[in-house]
Amino acid sequence: MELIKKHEAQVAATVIGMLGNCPEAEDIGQETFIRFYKSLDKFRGEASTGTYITRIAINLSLNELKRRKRQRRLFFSKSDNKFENVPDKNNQEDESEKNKIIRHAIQKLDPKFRSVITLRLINGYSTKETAQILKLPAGTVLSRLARGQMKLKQILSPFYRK
Amino acid sequence: MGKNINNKILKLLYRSFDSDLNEKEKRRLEEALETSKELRREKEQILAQRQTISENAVASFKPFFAERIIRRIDAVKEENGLEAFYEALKAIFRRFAIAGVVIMIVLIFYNFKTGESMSMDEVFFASDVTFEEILDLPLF
Repeated sequence: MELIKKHEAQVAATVIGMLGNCPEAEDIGQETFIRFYKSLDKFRGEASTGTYITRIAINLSLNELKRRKRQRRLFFSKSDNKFENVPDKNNQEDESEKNKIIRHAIQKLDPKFRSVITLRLINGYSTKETAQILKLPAGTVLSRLARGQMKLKQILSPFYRK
Repeated sequence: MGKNINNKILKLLYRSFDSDLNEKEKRRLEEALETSKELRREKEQILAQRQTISENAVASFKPFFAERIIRRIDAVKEENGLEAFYEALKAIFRRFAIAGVVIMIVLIFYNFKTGESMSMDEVFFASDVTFEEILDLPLF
């Protein structure tokens, strides 16, 4: 119970950052802890518990995104517009609206950019830790971070032009 | 976005937020920032964007999240207990089955060797022998 409470915030930030604030996010959050419980005997303490749990959360989130993509392919013949669902820029004065806009913009990013942005900017992991969690070279993380932020800026450009 | 900014300098600017630059790179970036108003604006925008993203994190699920997980873990434990019981049962059954097959093979072989005729009935104990006759047979 203590362990769940200790790591709930970081799992929530990871999963909601990756999937958005949707019902599936809680399911993936729960599944993260269940998987951790089931893999306790395999956990050798090479990484910190937090990093290990975050790795499970990010992998499950990426699987969920793949599942969604498959479903979209099955039910829609054409891919959805990259800029749909971004709320109207007239609402930008409202702080919570601004947050929603940012969250929606993150959801528009490709999962490979979303995962580095979530871990580095939302969870606050260092570049090195992000690379360890995603099992990627640090250079790849840095370039994905740069490209992800550029894309975000592009998506949000209507809100920057005032 | 930064159409007039040198692409290498832009990359350097982005990299400066997430990793340490060497002295030469730092100087290059500082000089570029001093001379380019557009680059300074770009830096401000990235900083603001990064800050908004980090402040915007939703860091909790619905109330009683931990309790819901504990309930699921209890169900998993129960499931594991049942599974272990079935596995043990299977292991025991397997032993009995193997022992039974071995005994049958030995008996078939014995009948085959000692039987008067070589018919399949005799080999597989299916000859017309009454229960009383079986009881009268010497054991050893």
